[in-house]
Amino acid sequence: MSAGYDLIVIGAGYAGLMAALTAQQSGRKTLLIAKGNGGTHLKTGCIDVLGYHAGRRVDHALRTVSELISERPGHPYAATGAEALGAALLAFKQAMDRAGYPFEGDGIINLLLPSALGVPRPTALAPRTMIAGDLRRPTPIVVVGFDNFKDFHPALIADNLTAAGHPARAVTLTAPGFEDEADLPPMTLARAFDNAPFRAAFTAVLGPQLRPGERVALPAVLGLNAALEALADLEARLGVPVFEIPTLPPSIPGIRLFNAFDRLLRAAGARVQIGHPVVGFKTDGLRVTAVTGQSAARPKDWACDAVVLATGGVASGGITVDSHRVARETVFGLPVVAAAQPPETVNGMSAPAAYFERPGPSLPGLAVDAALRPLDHSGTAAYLNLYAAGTLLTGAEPWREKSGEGISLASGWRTGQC
Amino acid sequence: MLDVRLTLDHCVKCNICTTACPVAAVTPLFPGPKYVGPQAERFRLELEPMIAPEGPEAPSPDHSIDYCSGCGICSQVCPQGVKIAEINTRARAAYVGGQLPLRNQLIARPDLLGTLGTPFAPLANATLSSQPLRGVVESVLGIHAEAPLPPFAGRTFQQWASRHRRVRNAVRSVAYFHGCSTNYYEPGLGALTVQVLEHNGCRVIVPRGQTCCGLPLQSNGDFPAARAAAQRLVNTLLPYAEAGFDIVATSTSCGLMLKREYIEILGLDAPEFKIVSEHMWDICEYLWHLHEQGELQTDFRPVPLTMPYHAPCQQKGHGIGKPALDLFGLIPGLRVAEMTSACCGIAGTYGLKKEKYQIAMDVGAPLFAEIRATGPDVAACDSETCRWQITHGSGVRTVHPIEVLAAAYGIVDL
Repeated sequence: MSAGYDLIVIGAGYAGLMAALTAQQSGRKTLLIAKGNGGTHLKTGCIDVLGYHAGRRVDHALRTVSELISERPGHPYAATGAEALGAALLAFKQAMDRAGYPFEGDGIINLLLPSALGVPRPTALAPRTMIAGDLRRPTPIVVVGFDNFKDFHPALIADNLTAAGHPARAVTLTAPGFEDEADLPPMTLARAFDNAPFRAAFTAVLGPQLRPGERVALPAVLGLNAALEALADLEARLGVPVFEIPTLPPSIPGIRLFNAFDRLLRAAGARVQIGHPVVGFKTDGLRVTAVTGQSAARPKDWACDAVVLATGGVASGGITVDSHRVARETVFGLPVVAAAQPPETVNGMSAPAAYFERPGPSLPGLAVDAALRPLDHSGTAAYLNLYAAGTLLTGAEPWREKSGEGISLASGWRTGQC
Repeated sequence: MLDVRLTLDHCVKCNICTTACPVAAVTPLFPGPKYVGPQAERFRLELEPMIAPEGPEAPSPDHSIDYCSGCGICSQVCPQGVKIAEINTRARAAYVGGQLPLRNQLIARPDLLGTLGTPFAPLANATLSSQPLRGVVESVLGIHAEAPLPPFAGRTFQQWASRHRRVRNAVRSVAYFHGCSTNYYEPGLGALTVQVLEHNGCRVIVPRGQTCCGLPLQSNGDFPAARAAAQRLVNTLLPYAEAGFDIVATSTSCGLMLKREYIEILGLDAPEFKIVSEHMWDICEYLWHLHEQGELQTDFRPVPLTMPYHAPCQQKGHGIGKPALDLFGLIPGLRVAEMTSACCGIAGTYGLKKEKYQIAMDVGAPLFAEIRATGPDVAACDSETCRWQITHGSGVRTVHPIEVLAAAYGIVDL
């Protein structure tokens, strides 16, 4: 048996997790190595595939992705292909089912769920804890928050929902047992909702404030380890549908999702090493032969047959941009395209509106070939066995398109099979 | 030491560390690493002179720092590379200001306790296993009556090693840093380590006069004493490092001190610390390294057991993967389940303390349940205090990976 890995995945966000699980489940010895936790812990915990296209909200996600691919050959979905996206969504749902944290939605028709600001947001898959919030249903909403949980604003959400044509009102409570706390972290509330006595006390306070025919929106803190049980228990006690709305980070649904991946990976025999960045690599000129990790006494080489780079874009540190606006990929020094350009300036001041409205990709990323291998300066694969996945790929505007998790899962699934 | 502190400017307040902190999860007494670390650090402007070897003492603004267990998980999960645990360990030293209570002075000196306890092992062990007497110890000293304290072996590993005949025809030589726990409490583990290494063609040298690495002193906030301990131990090991010996350690956290924490936390930047660091190996890291060179004996007999494995927090701090799991994978018949729960709670001396015992048990509760749920014959874990805590909390006998390998080599029955 070789002492090295069949595949090393660098990065523990959606793309890296999906690549590692796909590879390990296909019987390949896989190491996931990351500097820290990231994407999952900071995003909504939903799977956005394509929410906006050509200036309009998308209802038919996969079908519109096919249109997008034909219109924008430089988009990451053009590299992954629509079939891979569909297969990745299916594989993701099956994995989360096995982990006991099921998702709903099919990727064909988008769900329409409230955002942390109360804006209707199109998303393809969502955890079961958010499903009753679908705004395509007319049921009025009561948004319930806690006065000492400052990362969730019921009145703001209710007002925005109402303004968007979805009747909602706000209720603010004090979380029972936490009356003395000035500032509750979301994990504290999530752990409280794992416990039946807290849920009983909470529903005893909330119940009398509900009106017939409403559904209850709560911040996405309904349990950390027992979210499904918490949801069912709340709905039974209150007698109305209950759902979660994402909060400001850290994201409890994202942490549940990360934990589910982590359990699946370890149970399948993959290695997960978080907390030690990759600081270099070895190559025979054509192929990456080892990845060098930081370890306590000396750099450590991890031998491998292939590498998936899923370190994320500028926000995650996969790409850095220096004060001269020179963009750099941080592990392999790969050429970065579509580097950030200076925003237009007005009287020497940058103009945010102009910056955000500028058409086309404005964040730097990696260009890849049809096998998702990053290109070198000559336009061919930089290394024969190096692949890239996730936000690192250039050509998308995930914040505008609402496409981030879909790109990550599709490219992670594809590269996990490389 | 400056670069540890400078990392706080990378903190973006995402709170990922707080979500991962096992202590903040179970007690409101510790608000979480972000608040105590990068956030409060900005109010510790006088920290540098305070924790410098001869610096003046000054109060820390934050008393909750004393409830950080020092597991280091916060630094591992931080996506920005902030050295949160390291900042907190140094902040605690400033908070303590060299004024350790008697209890902490005692439990932070395992070599002193071992030297005193070993000749009187029967008496000491009778005291430790007597609940009424432990109640007295708790009320007088503040060491919790139920905390897992191991019995003294009554003989030291050094005594065993001085009588042990070294093998001839060895293909390589290694020095063995055994640590206090092996010397005074688990000399059998040291003997098995030597035998496993010898089975793999190593001549094992056990440097005489090995003293405590100083980790308990560092964790309890006495940096001057920790630095003195570090200097003593490094002086002992330096000749072996300079002679080119690999130095292996079976105590994961003590090995990590020698690899990194002397330099990074205690700020010891003399050349000898770097030289010794570069020659340090965790025992499983070393054996797996031999395997990667094709030089590990793989004449393993089947070990038909179901065994959960918990990689302790300090093991993860090495950044060497999980070589124990890799080695277990070579043993036929052994079914290993890697645990996903983060921490056993003990954190060296933390869970021994009267006021922290229950916190440590609550931290470890998910791990204990996860271990029991595998229906194990035995559990494995690299770190000694973690093993004692897991055995105490889960009721499942917990052994060092070396004991499993020794059983597979036919050296011992598990």
